[in-house]
Amino acid sequence: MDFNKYHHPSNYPPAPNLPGQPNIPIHPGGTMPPLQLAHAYVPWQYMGRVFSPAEALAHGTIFPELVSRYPS
Amino acid sequence: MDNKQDDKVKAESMYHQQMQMLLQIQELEFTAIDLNLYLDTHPDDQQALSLYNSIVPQLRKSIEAYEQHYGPLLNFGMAASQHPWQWINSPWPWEI
Amino acid sequence: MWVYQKKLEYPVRVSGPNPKLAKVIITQYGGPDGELSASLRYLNQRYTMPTDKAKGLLTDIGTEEMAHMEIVATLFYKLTRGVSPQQMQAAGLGGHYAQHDTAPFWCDPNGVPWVASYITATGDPITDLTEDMDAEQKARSTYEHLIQLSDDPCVTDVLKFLREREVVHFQRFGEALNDVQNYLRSKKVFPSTGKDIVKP
Repeated sequence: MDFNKYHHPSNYPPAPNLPGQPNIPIHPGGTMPPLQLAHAYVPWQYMGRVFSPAEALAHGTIFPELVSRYPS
Repeated sequence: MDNKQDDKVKAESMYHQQMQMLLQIQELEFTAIDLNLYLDTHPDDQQALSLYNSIVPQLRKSIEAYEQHYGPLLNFGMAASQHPWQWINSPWPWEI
Repeated sequence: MWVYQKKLEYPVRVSGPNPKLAKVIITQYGGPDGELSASLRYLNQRYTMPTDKAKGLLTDIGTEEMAHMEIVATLFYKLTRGVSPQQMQAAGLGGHYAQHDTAPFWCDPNGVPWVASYITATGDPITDLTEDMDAEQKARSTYEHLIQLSDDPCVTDVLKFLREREVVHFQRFGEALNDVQNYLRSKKVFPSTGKDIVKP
């Protein structure tokens, strides 16, 4: 989870609980199982604000935190 | 010659109107699809579910409005058709 | 069962005929990391998933990949409209034209036909979901290669949409894997035999 690489979309206000940060939970233990060796995991996403339908189709997702620009 | 030009402009504007209506459906439905996938792994997220449910009537309305002008978008009993059977009419999606 | 909706998930425009671009784009139709592979893989694996979340997700993403396959076919169709046999030949699609005219077909850019060994189903949900995550990465990389090759901004726009979907799918499969691993840990069941582990 490299927060430094995250590019916040400039026209999108941050979620109120994590100003300037992506919508990644502070306490991932909620539904995140206890981590075991030799198992792969992905951080849980929690829905915060979403794009409008027009923006969503243009970006390829309704979730700003899942937008991955290419070329980066 | 003037009539031909008029016809061309009219056809282009009709095509544009159809594209606009279709785009509105694509935008709403895509929002529902992305929410659908999120809900598949987050079935308890009430916020997501409310948003999804709020899109359902909007999408239905957009689809019905489109179908009034351009014929059914669904078959197998999901949408009615005028005579003659509209489902087979061009343009098909890869031709639009 | 499936019902067909007579529209594309995303609008497809091209700037003009471009058989050279059509040739490489076919990889996402019938190639190893293309939409047919993705769709059939997920729709087949869903039968032996242990959780509702995984069954639902595999069904839904499998269905969305069918819609993506239709978009790729539309790209190929539009990029080869009005192209003469000589132009197909010059673009390296002479072999394709000989066998298929300008019909799309499930092969890769080198004419290698699609084969079921591009996909697997082990019946082990951890293995299968991990393979699904791998498949999404391969699809993303392939779309990135196609974006590099594309000289048509309209086509690039469609490719970027499809690429972003792979990123989202990867996140969802990862969440399904988290959930399945949690489920199996709490059940302490061998996924293949269904026998309970006897605690010492």
